[in-house]
Amino acid sequence: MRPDEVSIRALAAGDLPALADFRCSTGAPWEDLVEEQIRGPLPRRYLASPPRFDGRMLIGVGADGNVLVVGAHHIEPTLEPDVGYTEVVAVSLQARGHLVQLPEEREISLGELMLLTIFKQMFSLGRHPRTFVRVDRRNQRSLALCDRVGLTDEHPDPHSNLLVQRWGELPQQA
Amino acid sequence: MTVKQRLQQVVSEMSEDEAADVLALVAGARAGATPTDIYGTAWGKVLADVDPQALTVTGSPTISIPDGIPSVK
Repeated sequence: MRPDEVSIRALAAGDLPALADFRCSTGAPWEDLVEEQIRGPLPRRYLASPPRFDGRMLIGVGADGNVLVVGAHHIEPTLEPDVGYTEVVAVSLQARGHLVQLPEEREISLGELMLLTIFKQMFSLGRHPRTFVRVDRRNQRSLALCDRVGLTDEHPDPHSNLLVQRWGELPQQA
Repeated sequence: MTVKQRLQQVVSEMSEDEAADVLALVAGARAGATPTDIYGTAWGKVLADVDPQALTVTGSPTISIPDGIPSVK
């Protein structure tokens, strides 16, 4: 897949009908949870994000107009500057396994493309260098994605034994 | 120009999508409720009791952003 075959942009209210049909689960409980949230309350939560959390939801749309990948992040206002938390990254079933060709012969998955786009946005917004995700500890696919993008520092999640936090450090210069 | 007149002008220049976004923002602000993440933890509380070491900047980035990654406003 060429980079121009997927267009990543901010979510708009007009995207809600397309997300109501979004499918990313093959039946694993952690995939079901994400699919239910994307088809249900998650997009509205981000459209109505209180300013102090600066919630941002991104979608990647294919040439045919279908939503191929979704990502959402907001700030956890704990430190100065604010820490960026990537709450969701999900690839549609139809696009799972597709690779995007980057310059210099590098290929990355759509999930990787979305996470790196979010990290680039965090960088441009001046977020704290440390950034994190929460992952179901049984979700090997997402843990492998974390490894590929540099979210390699694992910590227990204080709220749930089912989850781990994966942390990484953003570059401090472009 | 009064505030009301100015708002009317702004609204009249919006697309339907922009107007829907504004309505969602107003609804969220009026509801006043703190959102929760997909695991049920309130936004703003996710880092409560987190290992302080997780937040320590090492100065050695683990993330690199390759050429070709799009910029989104």
